[in-house]
Amino acid sequence: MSLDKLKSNWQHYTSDVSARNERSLEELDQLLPSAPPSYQFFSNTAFLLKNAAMYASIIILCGGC
Amino acid sequence: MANRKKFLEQLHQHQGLIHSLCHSYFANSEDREDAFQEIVLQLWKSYPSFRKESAVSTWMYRVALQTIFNLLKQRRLTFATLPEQLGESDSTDTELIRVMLSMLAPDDRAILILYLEGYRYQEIADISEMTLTNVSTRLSRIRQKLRSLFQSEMI
Repeated sequence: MSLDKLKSNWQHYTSDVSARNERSLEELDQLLPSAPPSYQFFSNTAFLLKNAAMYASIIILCGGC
Repeated sequence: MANRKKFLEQLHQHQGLIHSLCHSYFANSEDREDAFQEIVLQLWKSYPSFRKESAVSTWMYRVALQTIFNLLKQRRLTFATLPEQLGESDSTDTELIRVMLSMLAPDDRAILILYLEGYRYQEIADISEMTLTNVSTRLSRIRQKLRSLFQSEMI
């Protein structure tokens, strides 16, 4: 028995679990809060880097002032 | 509103992966329900920052596993030492998966699940936030466990 042979067992397991627990779109909708999610700025690496670079340039440019 | 509809459609399509993870990690049905709801909430919260650089299922695995590990740490939910038996007529296939998962700690369990889902080593490393070497070492350890399980069964 190898891990690759276990793949088909896993497919069988997951389809069994899914078939027993599948929820409708309406049921899933009830789990969500009514308000839309707010954008998580601090989880966005590009946003952080861009702002860090901008503040660094301002500090450097105004360094002599 | 359109965002919500699209999210729900994707969630509906891929919900099986969340159910499988919840069943693989939590023995108690109430804990599984808590985990399912928390995962859905975390997915919804992080949906605006999902930039479609990866497949939806890959992103869902990442968020779901992080949520499960946080729940195990914070709320001390009942970790499934032996995942739930699905029914009286469990097939050998399903039983084998239950036994295999029962032998593994939470992080190794995640690696095995991602491997069985067909992810490549690098993808497993990205999703589970481990190094490639770590993933490879752990998978070879899992292989050894599997080998010893079958050897001891044959004796």
